[in-house]
Amino acid sequence: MPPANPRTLDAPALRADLTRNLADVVAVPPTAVEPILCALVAGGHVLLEGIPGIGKTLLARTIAQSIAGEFRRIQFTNDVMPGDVTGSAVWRPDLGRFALVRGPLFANVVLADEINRTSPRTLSCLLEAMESGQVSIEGRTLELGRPFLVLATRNPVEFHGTFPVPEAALDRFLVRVELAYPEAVFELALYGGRDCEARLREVRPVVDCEQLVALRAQVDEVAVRPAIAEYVYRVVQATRVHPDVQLGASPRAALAWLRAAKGRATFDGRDYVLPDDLKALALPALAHRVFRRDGAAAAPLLAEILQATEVPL
Amino acid sequence: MRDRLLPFLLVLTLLDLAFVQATEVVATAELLPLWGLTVAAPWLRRLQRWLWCRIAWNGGVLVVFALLVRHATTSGLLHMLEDGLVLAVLCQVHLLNNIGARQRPDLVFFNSLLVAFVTSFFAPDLSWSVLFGLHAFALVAALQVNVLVRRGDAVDGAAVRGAVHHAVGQATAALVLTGALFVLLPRDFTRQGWLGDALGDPGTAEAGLAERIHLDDARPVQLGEQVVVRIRAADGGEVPSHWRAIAFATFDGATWFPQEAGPLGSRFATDPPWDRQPDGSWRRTARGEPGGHATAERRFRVRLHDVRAGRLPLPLPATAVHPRAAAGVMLDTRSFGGFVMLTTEDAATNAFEYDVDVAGAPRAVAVTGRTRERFTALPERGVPPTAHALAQQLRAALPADADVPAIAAAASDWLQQNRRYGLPGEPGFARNLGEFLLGTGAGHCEYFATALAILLRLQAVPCRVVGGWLAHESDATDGGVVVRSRDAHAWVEALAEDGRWLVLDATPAADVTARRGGAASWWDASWRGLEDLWSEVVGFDGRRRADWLQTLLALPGSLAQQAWANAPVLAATLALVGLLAYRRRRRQHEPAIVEYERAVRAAGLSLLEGETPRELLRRADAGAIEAARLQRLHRAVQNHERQRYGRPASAGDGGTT
Amino acid sequence: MRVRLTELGAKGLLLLAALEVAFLATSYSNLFFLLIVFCAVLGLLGLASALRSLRALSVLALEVPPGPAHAARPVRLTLAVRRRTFDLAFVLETDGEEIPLPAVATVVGLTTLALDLPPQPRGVRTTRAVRAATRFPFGLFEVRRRWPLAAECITHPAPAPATAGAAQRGCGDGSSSAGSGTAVVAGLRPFRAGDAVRDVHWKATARRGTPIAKEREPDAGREPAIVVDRRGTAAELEPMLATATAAVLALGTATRTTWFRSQGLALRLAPGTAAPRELLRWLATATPLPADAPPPDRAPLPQEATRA
Repeated sequence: MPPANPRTLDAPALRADLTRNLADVVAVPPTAVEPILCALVAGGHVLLEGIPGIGKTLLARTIAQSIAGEFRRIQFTNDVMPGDVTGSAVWRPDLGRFALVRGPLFANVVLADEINRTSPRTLSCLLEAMESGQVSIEGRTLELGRPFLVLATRNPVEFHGTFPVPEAALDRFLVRVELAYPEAVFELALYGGRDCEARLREVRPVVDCEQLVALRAQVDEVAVRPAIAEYVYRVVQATRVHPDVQLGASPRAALAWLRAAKGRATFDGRDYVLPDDLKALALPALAHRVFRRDGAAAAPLLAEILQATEVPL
Repeated sequence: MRDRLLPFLLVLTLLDLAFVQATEVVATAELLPLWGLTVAAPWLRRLQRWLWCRIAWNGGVLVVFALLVRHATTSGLLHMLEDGLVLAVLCQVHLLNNIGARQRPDLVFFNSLLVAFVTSFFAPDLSWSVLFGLHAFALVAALQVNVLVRRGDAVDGAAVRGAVHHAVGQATAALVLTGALFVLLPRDFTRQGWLGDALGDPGTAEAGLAERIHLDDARPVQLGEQVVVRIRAADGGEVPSHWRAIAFATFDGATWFPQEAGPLGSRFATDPPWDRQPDGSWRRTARGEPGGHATAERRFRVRLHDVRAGRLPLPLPATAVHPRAAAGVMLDTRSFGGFVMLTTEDAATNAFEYDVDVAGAPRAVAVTGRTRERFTALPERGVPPTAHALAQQLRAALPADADVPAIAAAASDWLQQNRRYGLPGEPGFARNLGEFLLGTGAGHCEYFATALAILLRLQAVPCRVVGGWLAHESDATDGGVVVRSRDAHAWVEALAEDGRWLVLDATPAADVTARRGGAASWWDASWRGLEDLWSEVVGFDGRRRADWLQTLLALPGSLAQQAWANAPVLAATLALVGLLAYRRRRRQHEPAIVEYERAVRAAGLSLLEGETPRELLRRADAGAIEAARLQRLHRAVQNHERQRYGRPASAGDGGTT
Repeated sequence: MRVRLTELGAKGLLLLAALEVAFLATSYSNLFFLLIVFCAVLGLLGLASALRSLRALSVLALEVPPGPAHAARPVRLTLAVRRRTFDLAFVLETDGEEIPLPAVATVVGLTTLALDLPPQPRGVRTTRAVRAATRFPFGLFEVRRRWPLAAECITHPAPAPATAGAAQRGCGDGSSSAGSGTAVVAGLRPFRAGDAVRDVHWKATARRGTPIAKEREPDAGREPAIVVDRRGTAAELEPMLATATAAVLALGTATRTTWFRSQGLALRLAPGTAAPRELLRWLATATPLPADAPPPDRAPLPQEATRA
């Protein structure tokens, strides 16, 4: 039973509200929205992939506005320095001392745009902040926003001026969501409606930050029974021994997968994980953590494994 | 690593030695060194490291082997088997001392099985069966450990313990299955082999009723435990001790012949004759006693376990015999006042039951001169000279006008007090009647009876030797008396002047009962029960098999008949069995899973690989499935989800691995 | 599942046949019959029991980590065993050969076993299946069961002990700093085959009577490279590969990014990470090239410091 907390939220209703808000503003298919919401409630970060101009920024802003949180955006280029992200101490002649200038990371929802265009140094700084939820500037440790959600975007690799993002960096993102061109219905609605900015202004917050943090505690309480653990193990093990796989899913990947599944279970109003949660989130949570020998996308292979792996009864 | 196997092989070898010891065909002194070598094997085998030790050991084994072979070839067939047994256990000990170094344990297993086989011919008694039960467990455990130790280092103590635990179940299953097959498999129980009885048992004679008494038969006697007769007094009182089945009138110096044998044998009417009544029963009155049928004073119910015994045991003063329904069994009277049983091949049952009425005293018969002559006849040769002297001595001690009862009692008492009781094969047993009468050798009941008969006939007292059963062991189960094959007995009946037969038993009663044991403690009683069961196995035949099958087939019916009486017991047993089965099944399969799978099958679906229950439910919803079944599937999925994936009822623990 | 009579089983069958003949030769005896039935029951029970125990077993996963040639390494087998099973011998079936694994005495539940794979020659094998065999309970029958499980078994060359012996034959190890560092001399050490002539410390050599070379500070700015020139005979290639393997395996403790180059291969190896599987596979399958083959590929970066 979830703790008898007066702040306990009606998670299914919250999901409906959030989904409606997002659908009002951007044309993102529901299958892509679900992993993002799971990451939001499970305290993870999202890697968005897709061609420019399909509303990634708008998506992030809508989320920020829906949770009544602060939104910042960092456009990464190859000359962005770590200090530009976290902030730095600046000499204030008027005060006669160094003053801390907080970087764009100090927000609730951060859109890190084109992270594969920045130098590894800056990227690792961002990843560290994502991992620990805090940054150190001039020896002072500062907490980042609570909740803290990073939506990072990445350009397809073949684009010019990009660095490959190392495997370890990809592992920091709870889910990876691939955004394709929206379906015709959504896109038509987009063109036919009013201006995006106008619609964004009309988005009402459906939850506040504190409530969201409380909801995360609820996610921690979700039960994972042995049968579920066995299923996770079977799938993960299958990725490790598959002959086409160069690097299988790590235990951390499995834990991340479970965490995302817990988020989905919470949104479903359950306090236990179902194999269905795992199956629904397997591709977003695992595909960027499994590497094939031929360098092709791991998603089809994962789908194959999921279809072949027996679900423990 | 073979060291882990050694204790099991040691136990097997010890059991083999016990098998041989139990047959009693090999002297203890011969086996003692082998016992010692076996127990010392764990230390002795370390000596095998040195060449000279190996040479000494193998040389010793060869020498003993040669001696045994020489002994076997120079003595008879009987000794050859004994020597073979010693040889087998010697091999066992030799192998045990060489396991690991140069020998594999396979031979030990096979050899120990062979020892069990061969000893079953020599002494198929209860101790053999107990040994075999132990042997089965030891053999199975040794085989299983042998499989494990073959693998070398992977074996640890826990694995061996697990294997032994497993072996207990396997051995029990093997024994139970063997028992079931033994009862159920149809086979020819009277099959004669190509070799005939060459390997049969020539060594011992079974105690029992014989159609002749051979005094020169010196074979050791087996005191069988097989139940022959059960007797119960209708009034619950005492049961007469001597139940006669055959009478011997003629003695040729070594053998007694039945009264009815020989020319005109059956014409001598020495006992009141039996008359067959219209109701199938048999009655008799004393000759010379007018007044019709004797009145029954007491009634006994007798159950004869094997109709092939051929003779009906009756007390001397029996006046009526009421056979109970027994198809295929016919009775025929004999002149000594008893019956023979004739059975047809298709006799429905193995056992025969009858009631006996007994009057207080034996009836008299008219004694003719020819009768007197016949029952005082002695052979020209074969009566030991000692007997004449002894008879004169006994007669002289009595007054000149002493009557038959007095003379008979004096001779009987003298023998009882002055001669020793013993069984053939035992040390000190008389080699012939002369030795027994002289007092230098002990004798058994046939010797006592023969001696008494000769002493009485020498004093011109007509008498005969009677064979039958001594009823002395009270039966704990029904308060009656149980008679076993070892209770076969011989005694004397003397003819008094007034035509009555007197029962005279010169055998010291205390010795007989001590030797032949009366039930004393619960331990004896249960041992006796086991012996009964084992005798059932050893003597198993077509009739017994039919009886068993009949009992088994009738079991449901009889249970149903007694269902009301046994209802609580039956219900409790069923509940227990059900509970055990449920727990076992539950341990293997959660009920939620079982119900889920059933519901899926009922809905006509099959589980796809990689499909979750909810996905299956969606598939079911999409298909055209009967509403009730779909509903059941929904319920099953919900229940399964709650049981297997949901938070456990005892809140707090959501942990996983 | 396949069933085979073992040697003990064959002997037992012979014994049973002999006893049966003896049984038929003599007159019927209850005990003899009982004993023969017992022997037969024991045999059948053993067969049923062995079949049952393998039916309760399923091999879920097989993982063969890369390992050096001619040395044992653990293979990870994940099993689900419904009831306690004894005496399991596993065999890996590869193309054309069968690799036996050590036996397991007893196993129950969901477990992962680490079993030592016997030493293998260099190369890459793909296992087709895992086979389990048991003789339990009585050793009369051997029952086998097979699970098709594919796993790649990479056997790279055994790493050579870190001596200069191999360098003579043309394998440069970039982590050896002679001639590959900066101008800053860190110290002196005995001359090793392969050191550049300009690094010989002539004065010290003259003083000590043995060749002495200058040891230089490693160059932080340049990325060293391990270069394997495959031109030559197999006998020449093997020690080279061994040395290269030692260097590659040592990269886990290296502090600098290193290149690995050979004909048709140029890999950049990040410091502090395990050697990539791809590289180990290459080392396992590398074959010599004819003498007129092209030299090893150039690294994409201009700075590289080693000889071939």
